Amino acid sequence: MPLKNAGSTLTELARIRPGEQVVIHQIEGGWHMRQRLNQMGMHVGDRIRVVQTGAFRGPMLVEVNGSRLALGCGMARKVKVFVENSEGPSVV
Amino acid sequence: MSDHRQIILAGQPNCGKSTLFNEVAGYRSVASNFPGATVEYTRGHVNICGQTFDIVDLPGIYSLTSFDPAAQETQRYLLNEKVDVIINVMDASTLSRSLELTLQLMDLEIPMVICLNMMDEARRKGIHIDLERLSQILGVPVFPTVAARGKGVQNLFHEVMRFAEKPFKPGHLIGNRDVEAVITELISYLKSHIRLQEPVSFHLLATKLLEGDPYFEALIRNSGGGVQKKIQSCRAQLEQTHGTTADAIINGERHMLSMTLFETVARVIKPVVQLKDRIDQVIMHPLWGYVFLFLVMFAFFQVVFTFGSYLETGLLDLFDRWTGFILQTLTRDGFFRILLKSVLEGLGGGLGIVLPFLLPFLIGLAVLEDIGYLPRVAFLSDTFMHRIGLHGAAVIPAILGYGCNVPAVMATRILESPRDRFIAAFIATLVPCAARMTIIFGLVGAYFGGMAAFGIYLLNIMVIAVTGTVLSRLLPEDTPGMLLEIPAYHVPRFKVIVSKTWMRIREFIVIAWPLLIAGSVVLTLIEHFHWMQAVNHGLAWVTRLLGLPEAVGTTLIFGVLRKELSMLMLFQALGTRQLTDVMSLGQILVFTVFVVFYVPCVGTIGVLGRQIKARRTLVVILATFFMALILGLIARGISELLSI
Repeated sequence: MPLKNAGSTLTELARIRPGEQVVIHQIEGGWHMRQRLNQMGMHVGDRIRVVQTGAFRGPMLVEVNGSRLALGCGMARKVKVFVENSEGPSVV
Repeated sequence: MSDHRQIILAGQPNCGKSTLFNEVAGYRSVASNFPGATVEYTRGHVNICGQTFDIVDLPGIYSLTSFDPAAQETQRYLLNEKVDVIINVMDASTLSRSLELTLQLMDLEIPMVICLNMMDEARRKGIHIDLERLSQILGVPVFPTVAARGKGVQNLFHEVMRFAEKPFKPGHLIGNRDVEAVITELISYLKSHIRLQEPVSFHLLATKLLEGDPYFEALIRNSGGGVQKKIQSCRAQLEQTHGTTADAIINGERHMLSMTLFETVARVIKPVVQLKDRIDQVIMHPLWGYVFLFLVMFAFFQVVFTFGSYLETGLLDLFDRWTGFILQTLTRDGFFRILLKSVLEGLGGGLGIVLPFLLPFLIGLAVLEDIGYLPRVAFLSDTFMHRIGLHGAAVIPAILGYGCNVPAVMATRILESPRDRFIAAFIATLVPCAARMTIIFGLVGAYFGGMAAFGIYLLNIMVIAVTGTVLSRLLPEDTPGMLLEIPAYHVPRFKVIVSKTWMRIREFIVIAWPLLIAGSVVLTLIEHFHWMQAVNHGLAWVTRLLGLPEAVGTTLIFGVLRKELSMLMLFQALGTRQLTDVMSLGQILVFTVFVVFYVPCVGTIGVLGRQIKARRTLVVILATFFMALILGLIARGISELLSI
């Protein structure tokens, strides 16, 4: 369920459509998952842009700090993000 | 090992490390667009102003905490080997992320210089870097290069040599005060309470222990409960003040330092938007992406096959003439002649039948790889690979398998979990390689037409899908999921393609080919001592079950030794090239299906043994044999129903 919070919406990265920009709020999952995402350049607080989503719950292509990453759907579900609304500043 | 001083190239995947290596040490390494593709490290020599250095190109790593075997090797090498200078190669266009590795490499306390590569790409992205400032803050010399065009490379190595004369060890950057306080506290505790077998810098050890890296935890396993308790309390202290896990805090700290550093030294202006930034919207599109993929693959195999058959005819003619000549001039008669002939036939089989298709295949693949298309293929296939319990990256070994199964099995090293590597290797052996392609086209293609040959390929893909599904059900494990860097497109570089093709062909030449020649000799011995009958007799239960002539038995043994031989020997065993005189069309179909699926060739078995160990290799051999038997029976049933 999307959560409303001070001008931005908390949701899963997997739900974001191509072209949208979001800020990572939380990375769920264990040590392994956090480490892997962190070293590929995705950290809590980072701004990312979804470039392309795959067919049939396929992977997503995201852009973070100038590099592009393909991210499996399972992982994208565990990344919680804020969708930035145009009117207010982001929470992070 | 020589006594030369050792220079190490270390950096993140796709930073151009291998290109730099090729530039200075010749065609000995492979630059790859697929993260982690340079699995075995490459060694060479570089001569600077009359001094020789050993230069080592290690597989790319994102961090000193590593997950896949290639990165673990790099980590082990950096921590344990005697290294004189590290050249930290960085992709200037992803500077902020690359700095996170740099900070960890500095922790190794080994003399280091930075090679800021891909400066042109960075400029295109609108990133302008103040090199002097970066060097000043890090306390490490920084040199700009564009390795793909050889720019700045000479200067880099000149400076490295000067630096090697009086090297100094890099220090650490200071981050958040309370985090630093905890790290310092742990360092001083560790210094007085543990004695290490391996020389590891205490700063690195302390941060990695706080992060909970299993490799470093193993180093202090025998240090007693007090140390463990201290680490726990330090972690708890961090977690209490920051409200998140200790590993996230340490990583976040490094990230923050890198970002701050990036913002201090780099100025970002509006990038030049080029076609290659937009192209992914089509090539990775959920619909058009697949259309494009299909077209690429179709064109690819079309070219490989056309070019291959052209090469095959030429090479076989030439080789036959030479063999005749050698045999005539060298020996007259007897056992030696037979042996020599079998060795020559083994050589000829590799040269005339496998190489003509393998060579264009590998060249084409290297081109696709260097452009940067393969990671995109992995992206597109992730959805389907998930259905069979693997993720997208596992499609790369499978594609390689269409050339030769040997490099395919080797390529499974890019996968993180041993379970994924096993399933991917199993699947790779099922993919019909160039040698099996000649059988499919030579038998089914010749007697049933091109569409039927295509049908065999489709059947093969279906069998692979079912096998993958069954294996992943039998070995349930939460696979880590795909996380893959999608590098920018490159114009393919001639040097890279040549060296990459050479590396893979070499795997075929040194591993598979000698085994094929040995196989050829064994076969000749079987023939010479009239063991054919016995072999046929022993395999009678298989041939009878499949409804094939008993004389076909030996060709099955031949097929294990050399796949393409099972067809050639079929002609010989039955004494005719006009197969329809002695076999029904149904029998030809059954034979082809069986031969395509059963038991990998000796070359492949050889690498399987190295990659997935003997027990699992045996599983693959037995499983493929029975799968082929079942599929052969089904083919027999169908052809009898259709009475062909």
